[in-house]
Amino acid sequence: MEAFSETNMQTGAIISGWGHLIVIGLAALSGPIFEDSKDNELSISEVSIVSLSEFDILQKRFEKDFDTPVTLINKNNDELLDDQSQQDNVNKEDTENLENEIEVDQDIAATSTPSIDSPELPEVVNSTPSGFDTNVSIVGEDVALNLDVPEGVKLESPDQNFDINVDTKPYPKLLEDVEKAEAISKTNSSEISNIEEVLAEDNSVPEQTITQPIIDALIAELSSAPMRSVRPKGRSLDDSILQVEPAEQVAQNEIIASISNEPIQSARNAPAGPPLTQREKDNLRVSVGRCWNKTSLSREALEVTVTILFNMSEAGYPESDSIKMVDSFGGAANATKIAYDTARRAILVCGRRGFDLPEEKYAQWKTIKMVFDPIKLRIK
Amino acid sequence: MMRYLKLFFIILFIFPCFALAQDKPLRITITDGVAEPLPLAIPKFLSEVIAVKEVAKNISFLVSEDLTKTGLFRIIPDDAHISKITNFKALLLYSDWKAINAQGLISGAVTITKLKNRDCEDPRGCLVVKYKLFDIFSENIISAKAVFSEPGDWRSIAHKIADDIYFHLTGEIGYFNSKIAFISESGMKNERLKRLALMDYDGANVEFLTDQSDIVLTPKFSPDGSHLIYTSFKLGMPQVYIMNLRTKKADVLDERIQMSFSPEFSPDGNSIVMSVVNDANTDLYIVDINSGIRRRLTSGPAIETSPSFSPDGSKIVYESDRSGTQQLYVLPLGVGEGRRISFGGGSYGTPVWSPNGDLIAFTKKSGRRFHIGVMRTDGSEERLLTSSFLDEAPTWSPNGRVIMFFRNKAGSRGSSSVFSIDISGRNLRKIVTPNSGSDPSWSPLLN
Repeated sequence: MEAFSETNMQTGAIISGWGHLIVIGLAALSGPIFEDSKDNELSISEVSIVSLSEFDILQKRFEKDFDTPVTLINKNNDELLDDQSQQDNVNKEDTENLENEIEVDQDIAATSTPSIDSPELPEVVNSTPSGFDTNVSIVGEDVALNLDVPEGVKLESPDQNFDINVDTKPYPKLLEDVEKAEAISKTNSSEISNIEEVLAEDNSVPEQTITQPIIDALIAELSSAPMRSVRPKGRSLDDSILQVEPAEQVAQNEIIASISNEPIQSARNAPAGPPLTQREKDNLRVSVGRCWNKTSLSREALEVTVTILFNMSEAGYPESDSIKMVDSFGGAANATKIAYDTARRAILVCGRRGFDLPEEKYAQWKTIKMVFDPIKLRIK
Repeated sequence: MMRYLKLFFIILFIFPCFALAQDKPLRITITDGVAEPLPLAIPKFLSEVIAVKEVAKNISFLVSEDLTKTGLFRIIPDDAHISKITNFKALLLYSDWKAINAQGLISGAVTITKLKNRDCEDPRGCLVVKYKLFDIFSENIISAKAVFSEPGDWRSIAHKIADDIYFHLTGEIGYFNSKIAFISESGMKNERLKRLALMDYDGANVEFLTDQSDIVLTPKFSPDGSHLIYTSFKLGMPQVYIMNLRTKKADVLDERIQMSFSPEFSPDGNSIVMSVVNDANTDLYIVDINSGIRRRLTSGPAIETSPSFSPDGSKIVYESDRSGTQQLYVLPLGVGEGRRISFGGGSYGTPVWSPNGDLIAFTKKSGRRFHIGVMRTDGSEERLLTSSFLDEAPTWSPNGRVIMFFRNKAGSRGSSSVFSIDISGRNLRKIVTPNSGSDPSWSPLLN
């Protein structure tokens, strides 16, 4: 009886044990089995976000695992390299990983990738005008001679028969500038009145009605414009020195060059000229301020003051590669980055048509240190 | 000899002048800027398979909508684009976009595909959107990402993309992929039917959480967005309920309390502060959710209500009529008593601490007008953002940039609607809801 009882208990324990194991196994494999019905549950979706390079790697591995060809996207070598070169700007490391994954043949890719940066134009047109390269300057002048149009001259579009008047002044809305300049520096009222006089002259030009064909033509012109300046290039200072100065002074310049142990470039040979007047500085300040857009700045970024140093070409254009932040205070790294990006954008957007600066004083403004202090822009 | 000496002096004189002129950059300080929407180009996203053509169009449209509604960006219409994006991987012709003054460009491509680490219920796989944000004038890519989810979640994907773009252009987190809990109202003013409801920040995907049988008020999200607390008259008197948003089940927070209302989660989500009525006296109490332990924060004959935590959890701002009119007070937890911070004319109520901790939004009644305003946490720099017959109950966006509130129209039929406004006082927008809406509460950013 006892033995029977013991056997029975053992059997019961075994059955119970197996039963528990099966239930636990089922729960582990298929999730909780005693949970309430999900019908009433709120559907909260999961949206995942990864960098493109990470995503490409994931996809590649997946496709490799399942041995399926890439069918959704045509990934020829050109496209891969294009993508790769763009990704460089975002995350170089990731791109290198991707590169390893997809085994791009660099040689093939390098030779087959078309140059997107104005392939039709000579190389020098794409280079940033530095004022130091004689060849570049010559090409730039040629371009300027070909494309620059004196104020008021009528052009005929090759595609459509309508006339346009090209305003060669970089900033047609100077009236606003003056108003802002007044707000900025009330101490310079006499100088500002001078500006107003100039503006009054500008305003005397009859207004022109801008029609869609003209806008289209201007857009077309802009889109096909060369990458460098079409403004008249600054006075060739080397030439003028050679022509008007005695040989002895030229020799002195050469001695200065040997002392400074640097190659003397055309701009450096230029006389510095008188310093910029307050009006000229205000004009520049207003010109950049007009593109310094506070709207998209975070409140934290509005607390950051950034100081930016950049070079200007003789034609009055900021050299984008030279723009760098030299100082900042008032915020964390991300806010500082946004403040810098916004300031940089202001310089580039408003500088794309050149700043109106006196050419004879190029040496005074060839390097500019610009402080962006958003003290007046903050949301209180 | 004299000649060399002369030369030496000339060099001595010229060189410093030259160095001065050349080496010292022109210094310009700029303090004035402009406040204009940033022009962006968002061409229609490409569809890499035919099945997602419509979705691709909808996603790019919604991203544009999100960004435009902020008032910070202006989307350049497609017909003004000079060049078209036909290949997601092709290099950009920056000059074409500069010509139309686009300062940023978002290109995207949409497909459906199976992914290694993500199972989607749709047999075709997950909806994947790849996108790039370009800085046109700097000629570089600011962000390049892929977002994926269930094909039905294209709205969430679009909001997520807009959040990322917003972050990279402004430096602060976005608020597009977020929810609003609110009270959906119907019927006449004196017999309103009220339901707890949930919607996307833009008014889409409205979902009702309670039926019309009980009056519900003042919903508030938990810090992780998983729960709602609100006041319900289910048992005939106001009591605080807590609802699990996953299961939609709601329970009374503390059955021992007869009358409680106006609840708010602490920033760590472990406790709730609310008004409790004891012997006809209304005071603030803090309740630990896990242990149920209650602690009284205020005492006195005045009505103290509408508490809101500072983001660090160290203080509470609330309204009290102890001075004779409703005013705002700040109470440091653990030490001291509430200190009055509102001293302007009129009465103040429904204060809410901003997520950044630097501002308090409030409702102000002055004369016959109601206003939504903000002030510093010490009560200084008060600014009124709105004015109407009745504006009330502000709630902050997750990034502290936008305030949502409700506005009631005059008259017995006057309906209420939810509005949003930028803290600069611009960009007032009505959120379109199926019925009238009140008492909005903004969730944290999802995912």
